[in-house]
Amino acid sequence: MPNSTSLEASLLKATRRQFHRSAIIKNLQPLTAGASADTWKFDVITEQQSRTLILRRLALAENISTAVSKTTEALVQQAAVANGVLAPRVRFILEDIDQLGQGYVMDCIEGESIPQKILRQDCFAVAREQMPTQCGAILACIHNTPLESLPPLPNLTSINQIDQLFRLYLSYGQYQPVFDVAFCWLRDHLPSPVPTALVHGDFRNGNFMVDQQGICGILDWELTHLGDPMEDIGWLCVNSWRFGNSDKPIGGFGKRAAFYQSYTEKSESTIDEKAIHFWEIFGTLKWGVICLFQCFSHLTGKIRSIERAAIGRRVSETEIDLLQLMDTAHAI
Amino acid sequence: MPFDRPTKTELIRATQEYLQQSIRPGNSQTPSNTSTFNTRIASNILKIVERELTLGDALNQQEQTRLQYLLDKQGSLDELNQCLTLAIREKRIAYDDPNLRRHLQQTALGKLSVDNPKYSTYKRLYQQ
Repeated sequence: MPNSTSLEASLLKATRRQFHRSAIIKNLQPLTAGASADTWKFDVITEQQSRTLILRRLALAENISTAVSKTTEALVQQAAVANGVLAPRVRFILEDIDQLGQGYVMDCIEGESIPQKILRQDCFAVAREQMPTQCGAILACIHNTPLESLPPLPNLTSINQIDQLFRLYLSYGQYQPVFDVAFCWLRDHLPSPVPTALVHGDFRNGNFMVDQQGICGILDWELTHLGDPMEDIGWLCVNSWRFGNSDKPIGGFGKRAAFYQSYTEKSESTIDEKAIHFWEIFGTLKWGVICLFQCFSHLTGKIRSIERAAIGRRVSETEIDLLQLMDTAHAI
Repeated sequence: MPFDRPTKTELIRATQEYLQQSIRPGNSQTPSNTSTFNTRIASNILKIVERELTLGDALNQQEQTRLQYLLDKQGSLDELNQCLTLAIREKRIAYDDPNLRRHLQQTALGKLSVDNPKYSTYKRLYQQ
């Protein structure tokens, strides 16, 4: 990976080719958010105007295998924006000639994405009231994205994803009886097949850029795929993304009713609470296995990191949530 | 497997490595918000280890007793947990068996009393 001086030189060439040959770059700085991408913020200044942009590149950091390439990620984000989804507009996709690896440049949306701040700070009080309804409308818009406008994407059915997650779990050789109970439960409760839609794959509090009025952009499209649209709703409701506000299933800021209503008004898909419950259990288990994955990437020395070490001890949070969710399976 | 990996020894090792790196000359490039974030994690890890040193033996003993009863066999905690996991996987124990669920719930709560007693679900169940 180039250091920031050679990065700046390559980025300047690419930017000049895309905008204007006299363009200059200022204030290039790394952003720490988003560990599975290498993200930089910078200003492009031409004679006419100045704008702040984001460079998002493939990170060397190991990732769970379901991530799409950065080029595909950019094309999906473009298609979603073209369908009216609030997400950063993609300005250009890196080419081989740029010698920057895979990645793309998009608009910078100003706001806050740290969930604890969004959920607790007074300045986001109005935003929090808007967010459940907004979330429903935005997710409906993502799911309505015409499939013919999308690049080739993996079609991930529920059983595909269960099998893939089970293999990852087995690869660590840990005996977690609660995980095995959850895998059995999921295999016994597969949702009925539904028409395929574009799934964001990581639609949760933490990937929402928020200003004082509410959500102003949906970020992090790298886990996008085709599948059951209810998957995104189940994932949105996983207790880990409620950050302590467990009585507000929609990202810690809203109740299900307001969200379902706004989703139903805009979406071609129908709310299926049983399927959402399935996907919430799947999402909780997936987060639990990701905790194992991150912990073992530390323990095996792939990425020694105190953050990854500590996350291993969050497996127990997912276990207690799985047990509660499977207990209430008959009374959603 | 009473407590999850990293073991308490591995947690102390990770914290020591982090502290060692943070005092290395030339490490001033790390943004200060990252460093505050990691220092908070180091502090949390030490609290986990402290709670495990205080509560761990008793919790392990209780779990082992429950497992011996549930599986009707003797063995170390690791052996019994492996045996239980494989029994669920191979459907020799029904995944919705009430005795199994009760044991798993008690075990998960025991682990959380060490890993994160502030967790929302733990606090809610504890208040009931």
